Amino acid sequence: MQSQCPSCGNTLNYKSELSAYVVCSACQTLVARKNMQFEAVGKVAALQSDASLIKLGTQGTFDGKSFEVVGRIQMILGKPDRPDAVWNEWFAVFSNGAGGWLGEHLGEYFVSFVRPAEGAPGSSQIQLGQMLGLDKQRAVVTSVSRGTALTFEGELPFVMDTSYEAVFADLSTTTGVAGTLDYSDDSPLLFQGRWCRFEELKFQGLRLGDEEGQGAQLSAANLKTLKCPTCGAPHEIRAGGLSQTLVCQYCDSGIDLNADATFRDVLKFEQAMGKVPAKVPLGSKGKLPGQDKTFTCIGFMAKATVVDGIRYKWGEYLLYEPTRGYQWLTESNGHWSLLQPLHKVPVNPQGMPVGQPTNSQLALEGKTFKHFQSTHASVDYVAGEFYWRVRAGEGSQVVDYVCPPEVLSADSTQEEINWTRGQYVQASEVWKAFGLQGSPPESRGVANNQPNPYYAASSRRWLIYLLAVVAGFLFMLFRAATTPKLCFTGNWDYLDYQADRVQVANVTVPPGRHNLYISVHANGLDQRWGYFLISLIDEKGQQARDTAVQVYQERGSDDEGPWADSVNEAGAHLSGVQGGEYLLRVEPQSNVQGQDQPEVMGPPNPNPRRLFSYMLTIQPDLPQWGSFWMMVMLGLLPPLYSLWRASNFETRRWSESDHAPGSDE
Amino acid sequence: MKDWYTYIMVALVGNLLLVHLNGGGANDGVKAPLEGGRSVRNNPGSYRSHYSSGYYHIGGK
Repeated sequence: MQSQCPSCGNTLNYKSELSAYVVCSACQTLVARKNMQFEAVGKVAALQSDASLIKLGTQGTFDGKSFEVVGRIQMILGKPDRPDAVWNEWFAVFSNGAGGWLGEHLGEYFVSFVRPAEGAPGSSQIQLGQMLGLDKQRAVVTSVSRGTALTFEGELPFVMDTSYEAVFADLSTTTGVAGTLDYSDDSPLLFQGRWCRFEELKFQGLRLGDEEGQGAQLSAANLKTLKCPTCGAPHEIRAGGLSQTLVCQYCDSGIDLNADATFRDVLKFEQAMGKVPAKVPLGSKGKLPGQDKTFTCIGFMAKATVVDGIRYKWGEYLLYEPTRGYQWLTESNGHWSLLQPLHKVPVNPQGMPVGQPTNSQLALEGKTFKHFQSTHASVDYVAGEFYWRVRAGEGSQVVDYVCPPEVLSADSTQEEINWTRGQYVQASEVWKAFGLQGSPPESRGVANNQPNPYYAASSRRWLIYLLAVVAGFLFMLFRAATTPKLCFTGNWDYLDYQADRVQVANVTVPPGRHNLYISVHANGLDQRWGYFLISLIDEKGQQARDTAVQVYQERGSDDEGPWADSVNEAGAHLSGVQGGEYLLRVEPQSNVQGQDQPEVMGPPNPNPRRLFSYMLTIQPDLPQWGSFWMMVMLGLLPPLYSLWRASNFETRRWSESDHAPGSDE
Repeated sequence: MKDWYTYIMVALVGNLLLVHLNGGGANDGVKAPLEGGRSVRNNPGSYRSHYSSGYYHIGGK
């Protein structure tokens, strides 16, 4: 569809029936279309140059539908003469005829569609952390900001008044569905969609890096290098168009990158604690584990918090990549973590999305994150580029939750709650990724999300131990169930008079090597003991295996009354007995008492009295439970030690948290 | 990463199996050659045990 610009006569092309406005590319006149009538509304301001990769005509794909970018609204946060942030809302026409919006902010992309804002509160009633309904889900207000439409480009279904600030509220859910409430009109508009990665949108026809930016002003978008106006030190601008501030690392001058060069503010940045050396130099490029692109370190902040009078310090490195946006690399006591923006909100123990962060544990994607610490963090030192207007002494409330090696961090200000999700990174990997010289400094203490190096070893050892014990126990049961039958049983009497009490008998031990258990069971012991010298004699080999077994029974009385003590059955082991024929020799002995006839006095008694009887058995291959219990006891020590080390590690970790023993929480 | 503990447990389990399959285990006896070449079968009273012998009285209270 075509028409002519009512101001300059230039041909205007409409690619979408939805477009109610178009900006003439020749004379920057905003033309309104009402039915087939075209009316000039006025001139639009020049576009603020930026580093956007998107331009009119860029094509892409979202959820299987192709789209083409046909218009843009350029938005600013803060005052138009000194904006805190600049972003684009691109209007796109989809293959199914629908119109949608591609929000571009800090290198990330939010695709959304206008939906009815049923039940949305008024702009004066909406609050940070408030719970609202969004797409049949509960959503949390994570940002309430005031922005202004700066200018327009291409075709648009509607335009905004550029003369006043409107309230914008960002909503986040637990599933990644997100939304923005736009209060620029009388009734709020809801833009509902989700955040997407650059490659997911499969862009074609992007603006190349070497193309001319639009707009007459010099700005950071066209800046590749900048000399510090104060000390003359050269700086490379790596995130041009997105960076708002550059703090010279040599003289601490804070430079407003978004202003015209003529009127660029240069402020002496008051560093709170003096210079803090950055361990990763500004300008370093690297790809860390968890990153799929190479990022550039463009900014560094030294931060601190005070807890119980102790000052805890850490460093935060701002990393940037044009198609991935920003990430943070933090360092504390030699421990490093890589944090990325999180466009979901976690759930609390009640299953509701988290509004204002609390001290309760959270859940995200099936993982439980325990509250670690809530602190107020202040900025001690800054250097390099930042995408917001950095202010000396600025601070925020930071709440950390851990599920090692991950961490969730909520950074709250008056206007927004920023959730980031981090992963612990070994210092050696940071050094390797950025090609840093030497070795990283040794870490101190235990980081809040540092993976426990002893858990894996402990778990593995317990598993091995349990497998060994179960296998050993099953073997012992099998052994007990398949114990061979007795290879000898003998029954004898011990008489009060017997010239020779020694007994001999033949014993056949099964083939192979065996452990024999020789058992003696005595009956009728009364105030007697029986001591049996037992020999297993190999007559052929002229070898003997000697052992002894003792039984007894005693009774008496004392001040506490009568007592009795007895052992009627006892045995002995002989190990490594080779199979074959043996002569068993048993020599019993016992005590003489009372009416007993002495052994060798007078003629033999033709009717000797039986003092007691005894049965001797020989059992081959009785299960050796001693060796099993030795395995159980010896094998237990290393897993117990590993468990102790793992537990001690956790104690040291949590000693640094708000939940340390002896703390108030 | 190889864990020495695995080897320890394999050795302990192996010892358990070896003990049972090779007649090992507890041993309360003394092994010694027969002396003098005499036949114990024919004269059992002449044998002197290599085990520490003697009356062993277990006293009561």
